[in-house]
Amino acid sequence: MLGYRAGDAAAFDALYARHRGGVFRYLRRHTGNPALADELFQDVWMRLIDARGRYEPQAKFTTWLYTIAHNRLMDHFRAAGRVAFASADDPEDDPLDDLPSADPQPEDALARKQAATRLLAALDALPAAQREAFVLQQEGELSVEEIATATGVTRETAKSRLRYALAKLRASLRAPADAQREPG
Amino acid sequence: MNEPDPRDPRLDVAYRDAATDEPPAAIDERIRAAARRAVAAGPQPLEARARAEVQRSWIARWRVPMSIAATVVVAVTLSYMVEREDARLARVDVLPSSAPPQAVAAAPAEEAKSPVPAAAPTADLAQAERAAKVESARADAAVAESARPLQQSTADQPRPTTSPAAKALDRTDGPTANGMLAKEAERRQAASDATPPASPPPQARVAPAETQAAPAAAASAPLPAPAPMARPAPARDLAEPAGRDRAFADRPGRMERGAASVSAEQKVRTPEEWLEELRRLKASGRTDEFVKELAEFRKRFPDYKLPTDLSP
Repeated sequence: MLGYRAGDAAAFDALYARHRGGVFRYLRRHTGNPALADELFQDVWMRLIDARGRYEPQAKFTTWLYTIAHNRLMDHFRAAGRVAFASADDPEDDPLDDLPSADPQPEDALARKQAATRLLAALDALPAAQREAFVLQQEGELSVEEIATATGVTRETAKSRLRYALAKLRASLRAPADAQREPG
Repeated sequence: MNEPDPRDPRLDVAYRDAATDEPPAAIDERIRAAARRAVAAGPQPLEARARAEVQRSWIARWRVPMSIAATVVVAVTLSYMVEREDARLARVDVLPSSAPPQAVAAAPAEEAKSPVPAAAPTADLAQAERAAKVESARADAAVAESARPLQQSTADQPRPTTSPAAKALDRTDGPTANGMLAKEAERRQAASDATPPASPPPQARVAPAETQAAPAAAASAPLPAPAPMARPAPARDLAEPAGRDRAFADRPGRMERGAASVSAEQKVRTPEEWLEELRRLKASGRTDEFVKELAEFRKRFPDYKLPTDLSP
């Protein structure tokens, strides 16, 4: 980003190639609408281009990029009258404490495809704040600290959201296996 | 604190398998083109914007400390000015306002005529006195202006109620009060340089013959050293309405009554007069009175440097 700020257009191409998919999927997961995701995606990168003169490497570039994406998403939800990221569903107890560890990875391609489908369905069913925490971890490779920075919450809140998301998604992957075991 | 972030490898794999969405190629091209255009437009406007941002952030960063500093500076300056003004007003109040006018009027004639010069004041005394005169010149002019009713109301009295300096200031057909004051200061300076000031015995100062001759002497004789005696009123009276001037005109009578008491007498005496009194006591061998008066003097003027001949 410093190279692009200094006027190197090729530096932007490299950045864009590295992060375009992650940012797009982040937006896609939250809008559920491909056309809207396209629009927001374009806006995010235009904001980044406009803000390049103000960029200071105080944090990881990815954190800065996803902060822009988060803010654009919030703008959209505010304009649409949706309070999508209110998170009143973070109880004190830790959902991961009561869950067994993850099942062994499915070995064949069909099983993996089925798991992916279930995961996406479970992801769409998550509260927006928890979904965001999980997608930021997956797409941006952000730590809990960085998720907190990008979403403007405390570290504990970000961690709680992430743990809830993981617990629910893990449960969604385990459910078919449990269903198979039960009849047996 | 350093526990690892919650993560599930199986979910990572499942998500990677599921997350295959990509932005359309048209959008990719649009964004890249916009980025190139922004670079081609040159860094100048962006740099200027960045500089403006930095400047704005500097202002935002220093706004509060600068405001506090400015407030402190203004407060300190104001309090200093008020304190200085109070001190000046107090000096005007204490020294000249309640002086017996006849004594002041008689002083120059006595000093000029005195055959036996008293001990000359030290150079620093004269210098301090001159500095005080110059510093209060403006206030004197204003005070003299407001004292005119007083002088007019007492003009028919047998004894003069104002000093020669005040009389000189009172002449409305002459130069302005400030000009008169400057001339008066010059005359005083010349007198103090030419003849060492001598102080007559206090009894002689209040003698009727002396006081009657004083107005005439005032015009020609050198002005007395204790010039601040000429100030007829404290500066705070200047703003009072005309009705207040009548009450102000009664002051000489009240001052005379007040001068009967010892404390009032001490109050109206200038340091120079007091020192003369001390010299007289010392010369006449009245040691007890001398010591008592000296202690009183020191109490009243703790910062006044005593002449060597009076130092214990």
